[in-house]
Amino acid sequence: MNIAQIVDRLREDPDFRVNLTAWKVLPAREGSYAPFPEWVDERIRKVLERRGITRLYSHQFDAIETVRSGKNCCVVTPTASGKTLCYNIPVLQTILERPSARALYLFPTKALGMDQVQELMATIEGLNARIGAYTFDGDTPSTARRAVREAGNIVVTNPDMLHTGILPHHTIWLRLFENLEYVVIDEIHHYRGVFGSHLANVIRRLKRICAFYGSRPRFICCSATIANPGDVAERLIEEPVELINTNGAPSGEKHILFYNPPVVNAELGIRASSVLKAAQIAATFLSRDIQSIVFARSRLRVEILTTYLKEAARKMGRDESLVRGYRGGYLPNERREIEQGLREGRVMAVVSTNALELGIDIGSLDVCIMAGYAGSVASTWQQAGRAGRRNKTALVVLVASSAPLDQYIIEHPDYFFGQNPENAVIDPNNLIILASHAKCAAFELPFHEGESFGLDPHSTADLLDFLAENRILRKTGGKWHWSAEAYPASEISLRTAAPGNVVILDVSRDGAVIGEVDYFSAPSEVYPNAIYLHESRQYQVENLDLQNRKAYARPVEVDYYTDAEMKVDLRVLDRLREEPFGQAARVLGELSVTWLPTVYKKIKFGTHENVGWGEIHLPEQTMHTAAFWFEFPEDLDVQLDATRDALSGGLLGLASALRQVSPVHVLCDLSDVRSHAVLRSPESERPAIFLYEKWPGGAGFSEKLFTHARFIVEAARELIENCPCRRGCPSCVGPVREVGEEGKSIALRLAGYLLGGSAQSDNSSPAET
Amino acid sequence: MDVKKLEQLRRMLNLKTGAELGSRKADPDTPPDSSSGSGSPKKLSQKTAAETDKNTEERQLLRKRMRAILEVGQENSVRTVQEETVNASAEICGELEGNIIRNKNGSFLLVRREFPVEWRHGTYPLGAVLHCSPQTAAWISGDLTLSDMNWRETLFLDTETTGLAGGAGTVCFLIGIGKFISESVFRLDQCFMRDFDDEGAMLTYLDSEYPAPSALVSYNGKSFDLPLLRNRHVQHRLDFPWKHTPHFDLVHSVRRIWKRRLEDCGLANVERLLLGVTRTGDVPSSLIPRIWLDFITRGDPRPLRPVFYHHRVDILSMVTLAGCLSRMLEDEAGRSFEEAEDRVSLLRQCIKKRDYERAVQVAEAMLHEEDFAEVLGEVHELRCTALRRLKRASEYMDALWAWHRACPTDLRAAYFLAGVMANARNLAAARQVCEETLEKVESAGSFYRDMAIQPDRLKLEDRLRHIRARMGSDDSDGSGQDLW
Repeated sequence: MNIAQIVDRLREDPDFRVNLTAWKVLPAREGSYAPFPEWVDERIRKVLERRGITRLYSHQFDAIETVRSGKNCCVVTPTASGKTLCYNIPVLQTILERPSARALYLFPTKALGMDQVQELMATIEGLNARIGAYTFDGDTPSTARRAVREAGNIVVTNPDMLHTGILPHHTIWLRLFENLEYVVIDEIHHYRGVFGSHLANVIRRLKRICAFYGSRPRFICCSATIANPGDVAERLIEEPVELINTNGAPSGEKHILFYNPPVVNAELGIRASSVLKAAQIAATFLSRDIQSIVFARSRLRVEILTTYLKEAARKMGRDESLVRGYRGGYLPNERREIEQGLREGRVMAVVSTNALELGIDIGSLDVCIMAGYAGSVASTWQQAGRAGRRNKTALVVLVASSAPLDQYIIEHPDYFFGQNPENAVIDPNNLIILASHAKCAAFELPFHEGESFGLDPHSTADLLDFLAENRILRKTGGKWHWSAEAYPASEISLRTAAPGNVVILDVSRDGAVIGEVDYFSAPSEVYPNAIYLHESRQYQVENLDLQNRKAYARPVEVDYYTDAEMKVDLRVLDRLREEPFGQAARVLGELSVTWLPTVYKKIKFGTHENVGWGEIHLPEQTMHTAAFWFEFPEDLDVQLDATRDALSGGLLGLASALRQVSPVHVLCDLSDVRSHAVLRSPESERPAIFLYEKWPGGAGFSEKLFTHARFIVEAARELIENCPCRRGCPSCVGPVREVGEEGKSIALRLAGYLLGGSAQSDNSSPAET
Repeated sequence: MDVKKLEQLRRMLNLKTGAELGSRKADPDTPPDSSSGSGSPKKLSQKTAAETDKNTEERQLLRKRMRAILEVGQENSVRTVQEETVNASAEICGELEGNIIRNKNGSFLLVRREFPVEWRHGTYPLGAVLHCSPQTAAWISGDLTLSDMNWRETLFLDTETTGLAGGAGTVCFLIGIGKFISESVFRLDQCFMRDFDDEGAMLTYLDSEYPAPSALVSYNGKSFDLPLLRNRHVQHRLDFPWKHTPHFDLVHSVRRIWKRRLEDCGLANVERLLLGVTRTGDVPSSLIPRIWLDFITRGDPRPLRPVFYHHRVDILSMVTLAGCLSRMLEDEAGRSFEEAEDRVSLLRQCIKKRDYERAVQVAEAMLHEEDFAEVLGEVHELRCTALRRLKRASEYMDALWAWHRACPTDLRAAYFLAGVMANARNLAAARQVCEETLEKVESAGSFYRDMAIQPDRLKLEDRLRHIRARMGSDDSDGSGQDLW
């Protein structure tokens, strides 16, 4: 049975169709082609022709011509549209013309870098030229490092290695920096929030070092489809970028199905398990010999799905090895073997975390099933792109979980299929991040008076003076010199803005590391007596040593989990921008957040009853961060005709829903933003709902939330309205026991209040309202 | 320490930078989505004059708040940042007995001392090294480029730095160069940066004063001092003149000979035990970076005195160590080494360098002397190895017998001896050697059941089985012969 027949069969299956909220058919599209430009070396064309590439897609043509003309470019292309040629052709061409030329490739992960080098090697072999292409990362043996430095025309690395291993040692990378002509940054949509803010500063340092050695590289960026790829690229490299976003690659017909598992408990708003449904759907394809990929959101779910599908294969009398799991933590050889199995058809179903969402070459499959929404429209399209061969029909099924964001997406297919609304944000001038990299930059080369680093020269001087006051730098002879014994890059992680993660150690296995949590989350997750779950095993925390960033835990088997109650205090430090928002106001500002874990509850699995509690004795923590909030009039309870208690529940419910839908317009992880609601804000003495960022100083999310406040409130209202539960559930405003009997209805009225009020103010002057 | 700094920075975070404040507050009419973050440099450059004024005001506020926060963060060390003039030169020159050297790139402090070659640093005079053959240096370091070195044109090099981590931001603030400027005088130049901006002048001076030495001598300089000096030259866009100069790094040679005896092959330990040097008024190396960093901010040169002393002793010790090492190695048979373990190390070096003739010489010299009981087996074994590699069959056989007789319970001796015998079809004798040795080991009790010897024991038992099997298969002619 082929895929088109399956599609027909599904179309006629009423039991299946009743759970669909969307069935979108993307018609097949012809490719748009262009010949190789005249200037492309005969040898490159020959190699590509041997691989069956006789002409270019239009976007490849545009990209290489743009780069050739000396401009930076950002190519936006879906999965499997041949984006690597967009940078490999100009880079290889330049090296053939000038053998001393160098290029630096940056990928967010080591695995991607390795994949790239393998492909490059294959191409270079056919060129019959001496071109060195090497990975340089933590796994590169020290004996090979010199060769990479001396002979690596193309050095493939990741931002972390560039930051700690290359830039601080630029004097031994003299040849690279003197001859650097291209910097390729792939998957730039990954560099958002804290990571992106760090990378932008690493690029500042890179450019500073290049200027010292007299080179001025061009940048070639690649991105998945997001709302603002050009903007992100420009903010990362701080130079004008030519955006190329018309895809010329052909594609077959593609069916995209949104599947919402049926409600099994209307009172609590509980739906059938998305993992189980996804597994059942995948099993039917397996039985019909159709190659499929299943994406799950966590390692644990990958394991569950893999086990289920292997079981299914066995029941069908098939070989279990047709089904493979694929996730971070697998050894490179194992991964290569699975990738090859997929290409050769020895593997019929692969279950993966988002590890396979990135550009690893596994060929194209027939069907893609997503067990749960991938978290962003961009990721979902990337995953969906894994299904679809050139001339064949492909099928993509998104199975929603009960999570609020999943429910919002599944109920709003138009949102998904419309223009991608997600903005990736970065804030390279977050003061902590900027100051960290100013230190690294000063270590690399002294700062001259009048030099600017992210800021204008005067503010840069202020920052450097501040560091000099701390005796980290010394100003003399018109320069700021690094004047500490330390090696600053090793103390700064690009993936966080917190001062070091807390590692969790298993005391029963000589302190083997079982996981880590960031510093700020530690008191609420690994307090003494907390139950910590890892790879479906339970551990009980015995001791938390915040000073040394260690938590000691021991494996246990209990039938409950723990949940800490936090006392959170917010203090408004600064109101940077505020505007009326209907009869309420929206504010962008900065907060001091203090949180103190007070007690924990033991909650029984299944029944969720409270089976005990204990006190937590940990010091309180404080963080300064960016935030966005709504402030309501003081007499809000009177206006809504609700008791103070009920209003409190409603505020809490709306806050929680707002947080849940915030990734709809801002490309962030749910954990990047936290919410808080108060009946009386300590500053304004009014009811308020705060959305604040998890990292000190913020990464720019609040600003986007402020700008898109209206859309986010609308999204929250629709989420609550469309939720089948009666009085609140974890899929919308939170469980009844938290928001109260009236929580859901008041949250809904509050959303309406914000939106209605805002509509009025659009027609009249806000000052007079 | 850095966490603390981060904490301080975090405290700063209730403010944004001046530019950002300016762009946000000064023009509230900016369309909300005109920039997804704030203040990119491109936009800053387009600011109008009025905005710049506003910025200046905001920056003053920022400055004030930074100061306020800093005062909370650090109790006593608040000071205003100003360009500090180069530290009072006269005072440093007096305290450290040096002179200011000026050139086109600025100035630095040079402390120059001269020593007569008879000067005793510990047990040995400095000049001892002048009479040494460069061949020994080439031999022990395995670096043939050193064979042509001329001690008179050689630089003894050591640096003091701002840190051990390396990387582009580590500075050599004190560079010492020792050289024999005549048959009778050793001169030591200590070049010192009074602040970061002295570096250019200092490097320029070194490059012009010592452009083409015959060789460099250092202690761990190959992996530390030289790469750093190269870094500093790159940072100043200067050519590094010593890129291809032959380099005798003493630490590797010292490890080769004395590793067995000295746990710590640091120069301080080596000079105390081998050269008889005692330091007075020294300072631990680990404190040196901090002392200099304190000096450049406080300007008090007195704490630097022990740093200069430390650095000077390091270089003088290198000179006598190079002499001592070369002299000891000059005796082919290794009789200059008193300790058995050092001689065994030398013997091993001979084998490693495939200098088997010399190995035999060293081993036989030791076997002729007494008092080497603790290394006897090892010396015998190494002699056998050398003779085998030299393919001197009969001497090899004799040496194996000598080993076996000297160490009748040595399983390895028996193993090799039996092997050679068996190859000569002398199976009965080979069996006897195996059997007797195993028996002796067995009867010697638990000591010989030591785990460490088990692999050798199994090998010997294996050989015995093998010999017995061969004897069984060609019984006809094998049993008659007997070596005894």
